[in-house]
Parts: sequence; C-alpha cells; structure tokens
Amino acid sequence: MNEDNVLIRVNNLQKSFGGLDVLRGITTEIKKGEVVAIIGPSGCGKSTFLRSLNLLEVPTGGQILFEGVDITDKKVDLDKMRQKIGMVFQQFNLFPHMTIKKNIMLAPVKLKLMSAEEASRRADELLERIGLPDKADQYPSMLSGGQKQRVAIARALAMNPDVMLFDEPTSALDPEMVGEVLDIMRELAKTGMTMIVVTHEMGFAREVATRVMFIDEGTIKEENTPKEFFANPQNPRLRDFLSKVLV
Amino acid sequence: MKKVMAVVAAGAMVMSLGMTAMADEDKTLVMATNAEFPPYEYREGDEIIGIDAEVAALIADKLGMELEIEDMAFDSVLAAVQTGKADIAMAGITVTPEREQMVSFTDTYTKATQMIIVTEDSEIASPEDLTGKTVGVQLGTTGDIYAEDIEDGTVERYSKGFEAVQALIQGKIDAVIIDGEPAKVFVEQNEGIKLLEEAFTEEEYAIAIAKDNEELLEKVNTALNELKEEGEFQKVVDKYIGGDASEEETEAVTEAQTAEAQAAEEGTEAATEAAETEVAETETETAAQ
Amino acid sequence: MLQEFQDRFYLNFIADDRWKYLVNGLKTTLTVTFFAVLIGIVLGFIVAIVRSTCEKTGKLRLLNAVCKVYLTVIRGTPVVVQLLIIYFVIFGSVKIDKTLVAILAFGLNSGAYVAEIIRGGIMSIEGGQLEAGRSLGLGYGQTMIYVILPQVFKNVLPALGNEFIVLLKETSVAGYIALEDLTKGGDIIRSRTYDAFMPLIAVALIYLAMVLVFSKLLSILERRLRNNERR
Repeated sequence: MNEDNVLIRVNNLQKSFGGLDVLRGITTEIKKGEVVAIIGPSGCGKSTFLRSLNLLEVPTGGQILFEGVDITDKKVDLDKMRQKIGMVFQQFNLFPHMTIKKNIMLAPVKLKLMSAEEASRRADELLERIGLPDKADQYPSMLSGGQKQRVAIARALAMNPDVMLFDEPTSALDPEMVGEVLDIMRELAKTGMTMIVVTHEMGFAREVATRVMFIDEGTIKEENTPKEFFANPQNPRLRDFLSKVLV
Repeated sequence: MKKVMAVVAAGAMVMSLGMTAMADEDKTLVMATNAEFPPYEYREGDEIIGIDAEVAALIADKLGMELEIEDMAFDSVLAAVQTGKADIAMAGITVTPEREQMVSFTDTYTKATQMIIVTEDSEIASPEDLTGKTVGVQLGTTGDIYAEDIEDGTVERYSKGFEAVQALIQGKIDAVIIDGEPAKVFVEQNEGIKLLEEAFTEEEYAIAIAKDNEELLEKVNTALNELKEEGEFQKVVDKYIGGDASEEETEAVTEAQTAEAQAAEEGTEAATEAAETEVAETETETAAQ
Repeated sequence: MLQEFQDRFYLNFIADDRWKYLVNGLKTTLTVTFFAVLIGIVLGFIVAIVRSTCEKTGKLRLLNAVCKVYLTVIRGTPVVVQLLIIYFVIFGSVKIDKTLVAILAFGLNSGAYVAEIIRGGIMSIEGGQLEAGRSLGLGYGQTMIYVILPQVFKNVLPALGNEFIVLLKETSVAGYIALEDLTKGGDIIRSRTYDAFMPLIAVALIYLAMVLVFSKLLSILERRLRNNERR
C-alpha cells in the first residue's frame, strides 16, 4: 500500500462520556479521494467517530493521524489542522447574523488565507456551483433547509479543505429537499474530494461511496465496497440493520 | 398645557382629601420631627426623646390631646404640616422669613446658634476663614441655607448630620456647620474635631403650624407660654442641657417681641429680610398677571 | 387655581434661580449614568466571557471564582449600601471627587447585572454555532468575536436597555453621599420651599422624559438590527 495515499489513519480510537463507552477502539484509514459512507443504528457512535476526526469530540484514547500528524497531541495547532478538514452539520449551523456570502467569506478572510477580494470571488464561484448565486446578499433565515445545507457545504469548501466530513447532512431536511443536497455531494465526489459521510441515505451510499462502513456498539463491524456491502453482508447485526432500513 | 393643569388639579385634590381625613382625628396631636437632632429630638431605644419631644408632650397634655410623633427627614417636616399630615412640627426649626411664607410659627422658645466644627489641626479659626472652603451641612437645616452665602464656598448637603461630621473626620470636607447643641454632642463623641468659639449664625426655634389653622396656633401659644411661666419648660431644658455655657445659649425666650428686636440687629437676618421683600415684590408681580 | 399654580411654579423654580438645582442635578445624573453604563458594559462583558468560557471549556477556574464572588456580593447587597461603603469605607480617609465615587459604585453594580445578562445571552446561542466556527479553523476568541457575540448583542439588547433604564433611576440614591444629582436637586428645592408637589413632580417628569427618549432610541436600534436579518 502506498503510504502517501493515506490521508487519515485512526488507531484504536476510544471515547467515553462519563462511564459510557461510545467508541471502543476504532482502527481504520482513509485514503485520498475515497468517499466513505458510515452507516449504523442511532447511538452506535458513528457521529461521535466523525466528530472525533476534527476533535470536536476529544478522544479518551487512541490516535488520529491526519496527513501524518497526530492531532490528538495537545501541542498540535488544532486550528491549523481544522482549516484542512471541512465539516457539514446536520443542523447546518449557518451564522444567522451574516449574509450568505459573508458566511462563506468569514473564515478565509479572518484567518488571512485570502484577501477580501479573493474570498469574494471564491464565494461567487462557490455560490454558482451550488446553484444559489442570487442568494449572496440574503440572510440564512430567508433560505429553505436544502438551500441552507448547500450554503454550509460551500462555506466549508471555501477553506479548500483536504477532506470533507458530513454529519447526517440530510437528516434535518424535508424529503423533497434531500435530493438537491445529495446532488451537490455527488458532484463534489466527482471532483475527487475525499469525503466521509455519516448518513441514512442507503441509495447515496450504494451509488456514490467507494467504501461503506458499518459501525455498531462503538466498533467497525463491517466495511466493504458498496456492491459487496449491500449484496453480501456478513455480520448478523448488519444484516438485521439492512433488513430494517431497506424495506 | 391642559394636560399639565389636569395633573395639577389631580394632585391638589389628593392633597385636600388627605387634609380632611386628618382633621377628623381630634384627640391626637400629630407632631412631625426629624429624630436625628440631639438634644432636641433623638432616638433612645424605640422612643423618641429630647427637649422638643417632651415639651410637645406637655403642650398636648394642656390641650387634652394625645401626642403622636412622626419621624421623617428634616426637609419634609414643614411639608407635613402644610399638607395636614401633621398638626405641628417641632424639630429645632429656625424661624426664617421664607419659612414664614409657608407655615405659621408660634412664639419662639429657644435661641440657637449655628456652630462651626473643624478638625483640630484646621487653619479655620473664624467664620471669615470659611471663604473658598468645602462645608458640610445637613440638607434643609438653617446651616445649609446660610452656608450658601459663604464666598466661593462649596456646600455638601448630607441627609444626616453625623454623616457630615464623618466626612469631616475623614478629611473629605473642611468644616461642618450645624446647630449648636448637636454640634457639642458631636465634638464630645468624636476625637480630633473641635468647635469654633464664634458662632456662624444665631437664630430662634419655634413650632410650625399650618397657615390656616389659627385656632391651634393660638392654643399652642397659650400652652407654651404657660409652660414657660410655670418653669416646666426650663426643667425640660435643664434635663437635657447641662453646664453653664449652654444654659446661657438656650435660655428661653419669653416674649416674641424681643425676638424681633434681635433679628433686626443681626446681619444675616437682615439680609434674608431684604430677600423676603424681594420675593414679596415679585409675587405681587405674578399676581398682577 | 391657575394663579396658585403660577405662584408655586415661580417659588419653586424661578425664585433664587432654583431651577439651577435641577439643571445641575440633571447634568450630574447624566454624567454618572453615562460613565457607569460604560464601566458596566466593559466589566459585564469581561465577567460574562470569563464565566461562559469556564463553563464551556473548563479553563480560567480561578478568575471564574473571583467573578462569582463579585456577582454574589454585588447582587446580594443594596446599591445604596455599596455606594456608602465605597465612599465612607473604601475611600475612608481620602478626599475624592464624589461624582467619581458614584460612577464607580454604579458601574460596579451595573457590571454584575450586565454580566449575567450577557452570560445568559452567550449560553442561549446553540452549541452548533461555536462548533461551526471552530470547525472552520477559527480560534475560540475569533469565534466568540465574529460569530457568538454579535448574535448575543442583538438578543440581549432589550434586557441591556432595561438594565440601563434601571441604572439611570437607581442613581437617584447618589444623594446619600451628598452628591447633588437630579433627585437631590429636587430635595434641595423642597428643603427651601417646603413644597413637596412641584419639585417632586418636576423631578419625576424629568426622569420619565429621559427614560422615554432612551426607550425610543433603543427600539430604533433594535428594529435596525432585526431588519438586517429579514431583508
């Protein structure tokens, strides 16, 4: 295996809240260009795992090597690392007091990665890409859920991240808006972006992901190519889970 | 303008209602005072005692009434009489022309002085030295009113006399001007301050009664003069004020006429009298409009 | 009736230039309120940020403890007593400008209430906002300044405005240290004219007018901030 290709390496990652063990030793690696879909029953730890990857949750054990740097090390400049890890939340978390364009421009400008002009140009570009160029000067409260999530994706992309984390990006959306967000994600995958997606959208996992991961009881119970994963599930709990979600 | 008048009318109505309500209580004589002014009135335990309090009780006895003392801020006692909340006000009240416009005064019963308290190391030795100084007084007392006339002086008006004395001890102000009797008490009880020998002003105390209540004024005057003649009044004074010097100063004034004669002699009084005529003139002006 | 009103008006405000007590008192009241508000905002913000940072990140424990003591003492005692303590105890034997004492006392007092208002505002912003800022690579301070506090400010503006109205009125106890504010100005007139009605109503009307003007300005500012989001 070519080491240069590994973007994130996770070694025996553990996390417990109080006495509750949510992650009980997860070991995996994510290669550049991979689109990994993570599925599992609610409360299985899949969101905690994803949030650990940019240390929104601080692991209680194990290591996360991002581009070769152990980001669980307290001496690491976490803010610097996070600039390369885009994140999209279930609840969008747009900044309500800023226009759409300002939402996108905030981090690149304040972190002095771009001049205001560059950031503005980049924002226009991204708004074009997500199909909302006319919303630039509107405030988040004027947008539908689907539009908000598309903006949230653009906001994360403005930082030119090396990987994008999606935490159930369509779970808070009305059904008719799920498609527009998945379309954006599909296109993003085509550009070769490394993506890790916690999702309930089995269709998306099957069609877009290069690998599907089943997390249950704080560990990876099974991972495989989508084709094998859905056609030939090995783990009994996965089979049980799939029988419930694929009616 | 109509609205303003409506507010005023409402206020006047409330006040007149208050008056009629009070007038019904014939058997009690309500006295307004400010019980922070030893030895004239002050608190000992739950009781308000002092020269004024005891004299008022004797007067009430003579009128066949029950005395009830209402303790309030000094700047409210005359207003209390005016608005009928109290029948008489006795709080070491100095007779001034301005006050005489607001209320009626009985014959005067005590001659008092406004004294100057300074720190022991003070350079202030006489009233003239107060020029340009910061002087502490108790709001609304005669000391307060006269202190305004100090050239280039700053007057700090405290709600309580002892606070002015405290400020003096702490070096916040240069002197305190306050009535002679409480001044002696303050100086006795606090280290590092002294009384100047020369008084700031001299004045006389009387009982205040509402302007329209001439009947009560007459009754109280009669009772007061009887007490003076019987020697009962002096007994009360002696009980509270010991020592020769103080007796001299608080000697009871038996005739109202002497008060007037004295007033004419005193510079400060004359000055305020001049001010009075001025006010009177301007008032006739407004009346003409 | 009108004649009597005129006479009393003349006696209370015109004679001896008594209106000057009110004008000078008003100046003092406004000066004290203005600077106390400034101190209150600065102090309140600092305390609120220390408190919420400690609650969210577990850092700044010692400072947080200091802030807690400050809040307990200030909110647990009357402002008059605080004022008297600052004047007669803390600056016990110092000749100090009384306006300064009042500004300090009311500023310190207001800071405690402002701190709790702002802390409440910070806590009411959903955690997702902080996470969104941090996930973009913004530091804690940057996220606070650019993301959290602007939202907090807009949310707490009505409560803050209310606090400042309360503060303006509370300065009326400044007379306890013989500072001649608006209320004391009215008291001095009262002590000269023995009329309760005119000076007290005048003082009340002036306070009322100030509060009305201030409320109006606040509602304009609020509306402007709200329009920003719903254009």
